[in-house]
Amino acid sequence: MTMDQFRLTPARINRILAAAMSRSGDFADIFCEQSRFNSLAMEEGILKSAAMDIEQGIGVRVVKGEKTGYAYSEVFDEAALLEAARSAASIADGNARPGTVEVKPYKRPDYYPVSDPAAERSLDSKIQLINIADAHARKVSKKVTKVQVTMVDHQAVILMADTRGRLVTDTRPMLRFTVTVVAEENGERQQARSGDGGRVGISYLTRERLESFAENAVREAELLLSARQAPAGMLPVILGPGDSGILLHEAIGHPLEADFNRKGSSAYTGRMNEMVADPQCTIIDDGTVPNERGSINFDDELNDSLKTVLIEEGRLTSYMYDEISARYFERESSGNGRRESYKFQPLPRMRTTYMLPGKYSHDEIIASTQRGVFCKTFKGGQVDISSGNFIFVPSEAWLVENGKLTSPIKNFSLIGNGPDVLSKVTMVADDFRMSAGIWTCGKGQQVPVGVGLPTIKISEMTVGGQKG
Amino acid sequence: MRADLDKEYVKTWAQRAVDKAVAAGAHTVSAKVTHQAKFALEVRNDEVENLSEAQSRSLGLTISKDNRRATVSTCELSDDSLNTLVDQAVQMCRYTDQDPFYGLPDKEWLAGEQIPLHLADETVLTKPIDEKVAMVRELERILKSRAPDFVSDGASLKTSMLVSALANSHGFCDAQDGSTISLGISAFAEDNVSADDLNTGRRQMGSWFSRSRWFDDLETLDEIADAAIDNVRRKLGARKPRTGSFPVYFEPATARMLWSHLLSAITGTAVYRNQSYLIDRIGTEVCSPAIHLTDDPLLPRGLASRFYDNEGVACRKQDLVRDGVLQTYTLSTYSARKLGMKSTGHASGVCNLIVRPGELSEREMLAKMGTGVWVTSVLGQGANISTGDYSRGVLGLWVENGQPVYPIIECTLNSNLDNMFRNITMVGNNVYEKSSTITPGLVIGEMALSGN
Repeated sequence: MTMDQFRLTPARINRILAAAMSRSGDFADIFCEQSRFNSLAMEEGILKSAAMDIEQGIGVRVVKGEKTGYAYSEVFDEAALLEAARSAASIADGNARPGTVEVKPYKRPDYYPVSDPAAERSLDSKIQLINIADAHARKVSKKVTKVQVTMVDHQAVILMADTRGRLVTDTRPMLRFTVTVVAEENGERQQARSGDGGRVGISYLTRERLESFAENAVREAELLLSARQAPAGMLPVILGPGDSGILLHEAIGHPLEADFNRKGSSAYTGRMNEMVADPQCTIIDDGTVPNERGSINFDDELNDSLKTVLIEEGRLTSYMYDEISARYFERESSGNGRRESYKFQPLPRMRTTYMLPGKYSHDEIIASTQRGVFCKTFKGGQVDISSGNFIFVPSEAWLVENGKLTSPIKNFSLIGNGPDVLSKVTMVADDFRMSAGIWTCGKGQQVPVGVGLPTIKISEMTVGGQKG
Repeated sequence: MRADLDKEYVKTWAQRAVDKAVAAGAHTVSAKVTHQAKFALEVRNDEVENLSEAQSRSLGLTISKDNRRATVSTCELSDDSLNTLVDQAVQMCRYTDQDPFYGLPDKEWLAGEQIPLHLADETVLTKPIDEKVAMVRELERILKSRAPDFVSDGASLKTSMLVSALANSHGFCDAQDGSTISLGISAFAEDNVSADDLNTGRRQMGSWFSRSRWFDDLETLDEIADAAIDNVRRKLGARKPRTGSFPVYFEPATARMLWSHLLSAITGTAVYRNQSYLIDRIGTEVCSPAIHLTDDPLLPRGLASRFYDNEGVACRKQDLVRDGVLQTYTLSTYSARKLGMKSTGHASGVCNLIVRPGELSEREMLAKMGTGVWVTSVLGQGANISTGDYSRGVLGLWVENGQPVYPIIECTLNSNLDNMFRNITMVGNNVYEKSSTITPGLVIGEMALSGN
């Protein structure tokens, strides 16, 4: 059935792959995608916009060693696809007799069975959910002056085939719901956001969840209204469970993507099997967590989605590999080859990156801290993979004084060096939590990812406030 | 390859979309059709490591009925797909709420007569691939010959030719074309740190990309290679600086980032949503009196030049900030009506932002600054447009007695955008032209530096 959508037959796929291999590439694959995006936005109490976008195309990739040729077509006739295949083939310089490739369906598990994808639901039913969140945000606090609610769903139908003879199809659902509020008091104004999502159906958006998004956003905006300027300098930093997993994404995740290590540009290049973090740290990148935003049934080059241990008790055990870097390092791919859409070539990308829980309790960690900061939610982060210099930006955070959270603080970033900071993880708690499904990772192209963390304590890192 | 990459083709589809939607009962329609040819090439260690080519199309349609609006888009340009799309949009309008502020721009705001802006370099489509490869290879060779201890992370060339048409049910229908070219290189070097430092394995990466609409306007291969090498050298041996308050010099490449925050805060959308620190500030000082900002949409060959915004409203040259005083918000039709104003032709944002240069050279500014921070790059999302709060990671150089003495890393600068712009104490004459934000370097009197 999926084949018809792309006007493909096994014979036609074989001809395209044969054309792709006509210049002696090592391997070739085709990536077919039909995507539908729906979004609804409520603002100032009215449903202002409804939008729908349809994207479809077929990408053909040819790989020879570390070299890649890529072309795509949004037209599905065979002539256009053969032209794309020949264009991609030109990366290789040999002349092969077009061989025969026989593709056969390849079995795979399903990490996101969804019986009620939002993409197939009526606008009415979605608008009801938006109304619940909007009304609740207004009801919770008189300080709220603006509310924006957005609901975005995406359904991608994927078909891939390669010269190893694999043929796979998949339907990838995605849902994301966000509440943004502005609260004002005494001429001061603060904005906050909360939401969740993942590869889930619409029933995930229960009234309880929708109201909690509204409450969390309002509570955070109110807290920020009473927040003080954050301190500056080196201080102990406690990261709360869930959202703080963004630390792993930036401090260790990106530098362990195998393309950087193949090229030798990462701070972790050549350090396999070395201790790169405190022994309390076991860090995993996992594409198999049920219904997670970062989960994939297989990656975008037909490799199995795996649970990959990156750091085991402080020791570096694996990079995140795509097929090109796996071949370069002479090992199996870890299933991290991902792409935003047919318009892009796959690259090593994270899926859901998290740290296993430790032995301390959250309260013990707070109580152990004389003066420091506690960060609960985050806006984002960035890393320079060569120096390991990374930054992440909290939204809700507190000052810790004499073992207690004393006052909310605002306007700061946390900055440090990956290997340095992970060596300074002195306590790991038993309260592991996955972050809400809201994260998107940008590396020239956008892919959905997840993060998770238990509460951890970093003995010191630079807190970028303004009070010395 | 480019049979249909022409203005008439996209105009025809845009007009067809408007006609069909009107026939289906839409009260207002705005349609945009694009056709783009993209090419990318990357060379590493003298080998062509990546080569990609594609053409993509898009058709987007916003319609309204009784002030209820819906937006739909597709990459498939066919009558069948257009019919389905129009039906969908009409259906969706039943569900959205009436929004009295929504509508097409007033007819008299729409763009009229045009002068040639020379935005499309045809050689983007015709230059033989061998010549492109030779150019990128040569760039890498120059870098390696000048910095033999550096490792190339790849030299690349990306080009795009975009033809786009806009039509609406007020009778507007026009098409523009434009090319963009990016040529650059990244390289890195080992950066050994002291034995007791935990930052083992540290390397430093630097890059430089030249962007223009015409091949002729790119910086030379020598200039690009030298700038990339300089960007690596300016990071080698970096240290974490001490915490304190210091004056800060932003070179043109990082001054650009500051202006982008100011531009975000003056958009009509941020203002009517209460998400800007510059609400109710027209006619007041938002920068030091030395600052003069002009939006010039009509610069020939300008990277962000255009005649009209994505609603068809004429773009015109206008001052945004004069002697430090905010002159206008940047308004689309919708945000203008929300604020009781007229569109300023900014539905697609500011075009080419021109910052009036001062008298001082970079060296003179640093000499007057004495001791402080020289910012060469900025990291993170720590600029809050709602409040003006600013805390971002920086890389740069520590300056003493007007001289850069060592690179700095793992530190943040903290202040508030409102204070920062009003506390610009020096504006240089060292303008970087090859950008859509054409700015000199500048010095901010004092910011909180957090490091050790």
